[in-house]
Amino acid sequence: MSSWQGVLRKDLAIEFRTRYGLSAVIMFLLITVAVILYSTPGEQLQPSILSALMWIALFFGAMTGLSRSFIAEEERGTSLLLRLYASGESVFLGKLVYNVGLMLTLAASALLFFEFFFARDFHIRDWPMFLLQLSLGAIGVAAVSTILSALIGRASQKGALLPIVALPVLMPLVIAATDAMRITLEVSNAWDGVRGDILILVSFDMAMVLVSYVLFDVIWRD
Amino acid sequence: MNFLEHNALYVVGIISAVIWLGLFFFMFGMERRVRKLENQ
Amino acid sequence: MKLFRSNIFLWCLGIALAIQVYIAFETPIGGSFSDAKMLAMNGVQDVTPIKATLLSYDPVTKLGRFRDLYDDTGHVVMSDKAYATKAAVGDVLVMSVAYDKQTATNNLVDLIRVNPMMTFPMIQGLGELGRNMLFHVPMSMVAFIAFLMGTIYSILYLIKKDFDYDRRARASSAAGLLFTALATITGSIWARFSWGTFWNWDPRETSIFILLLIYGAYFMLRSLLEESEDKKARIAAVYNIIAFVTVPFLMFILPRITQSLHPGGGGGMAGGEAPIINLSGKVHTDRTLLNMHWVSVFLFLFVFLWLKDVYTRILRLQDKQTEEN
Repeated sequence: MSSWQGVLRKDLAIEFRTRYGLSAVIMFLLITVAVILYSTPGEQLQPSILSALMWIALFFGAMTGLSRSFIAEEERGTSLLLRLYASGESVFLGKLVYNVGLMLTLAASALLFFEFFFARDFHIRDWPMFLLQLSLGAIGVAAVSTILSALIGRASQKGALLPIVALPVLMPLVIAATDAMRITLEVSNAWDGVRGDILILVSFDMAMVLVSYVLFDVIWRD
Repeated sequence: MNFLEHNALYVVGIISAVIWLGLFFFMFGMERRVRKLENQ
Repeated sequence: MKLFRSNIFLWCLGIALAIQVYIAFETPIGGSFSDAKMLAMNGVQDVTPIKATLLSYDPVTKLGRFRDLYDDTGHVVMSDKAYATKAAVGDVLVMSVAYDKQTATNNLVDLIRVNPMMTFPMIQGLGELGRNMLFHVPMSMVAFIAFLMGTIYSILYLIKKDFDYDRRARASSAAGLLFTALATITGSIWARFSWGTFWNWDPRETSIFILLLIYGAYFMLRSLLEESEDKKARIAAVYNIIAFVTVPFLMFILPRITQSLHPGGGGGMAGGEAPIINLSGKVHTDRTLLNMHWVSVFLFLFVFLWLKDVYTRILRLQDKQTEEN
């Protein structure tokens, strides 16, 4: 039990020291928002466009930030040590919890930026449902990028492979989350509209976490 | 396009049929080639 | 599989496929009197093929009394005597009928078939193109089965570490990708004629597009890896399993909750539940068409198994060749 917490603590310590993940992600978000604002001066942005923009920003932000988890271990050459000191299970859990935490921070900062910069058009009408879809989507993105970055980390050439491999797998999740976000921006009592999407998000998250938990050992041991 | 509009069934049907039968004959050719290689 | 080494089986399969293609386009489509009336009233088409049993014929008024498949009786003016002499009372007629809006009468345009072996139903909005259901739908079903088998082989590879399972997984997924691509091509040609454009970003079109991307990424990942064969196979197998987790979402769930032009969409634009696989577990398709559809699925399943088998053997030969070098 304490083992995965050790992995988590190690990652958090590295993150606090270098601030690589979070700062890269927040830079990415800021640039995205700036480009959108620059190209649409004074235009009324529809909820459908805003929700798509937010999830695009979140997805690519996640790809820059979360891909670090295993690829950085391999690049630093520390994965061998990690393999010696911790079981596959605890590495997976530690990394997953770290990635979910990072992704939730990312989602929260994206929400903050959108509230601040798109104050005129970005009105959340159903807060509980909005937060629910945002956190479920964040968990799903974190789960998929954890297992896939572990997978890519094992390959000798890493670079651009992760987004290519992760984007199609995450598409059902992103589509459902975008749809749910659009509805929460449009109507104040969104439950009836988002029920199907929330169900997809929950089942996708559960399926992905379970499958990657089972498969992680296969990738991790040599 | 007017010709196509009036003969939609034939266009769609012939394409479907050609796809299936074409796939079949392509497969048959492959099968023969693979068999030849396997027996070498 | 041994089955595909026998020429007799392969010829039987080929002949069965040819017969199926012939039946799919030869079987007449017959609707009902209400179909003819509705299509004419809505201005979709003036002439509609209907299927009905001749109850009686009056040579003086040239009026035939018919009962259609919904047990509605209707009258058709059979102005040309030649038509009337071809059919006797009690015969089942498939005929194209023009519904006259002013006088509310049906006029016989052409007698298509007398006592047909079978007919396909009139599917609203599809008409003659409804027959394509025997090609397009089985293709996507077989594609799903192919992806499922690919995943099962990947799991078996991870358990047993036998390279042959990896080859089979690769072959199954490749065949699945091919079938998905074919379903997309036939579907988009079909869409051109019934919805007006080749591509509408309908939920099902979006999800099949993503499915192509996912399995495209699987093969790209495989070709990009510069690892030992064993490691490559392991990484690809894990990705294949993860990719399959998304397949039920893309093929069954997403298209059913969002508005779709395809039947079974959540918005009800095409009306009603999905015709074959839906939540209430009922089949909403005419028996004849459904049975022929399952025959198609069965035949195309054999084509898939054969494709998979041949591709596996090619991969085996390739591996043998690289070993010898």
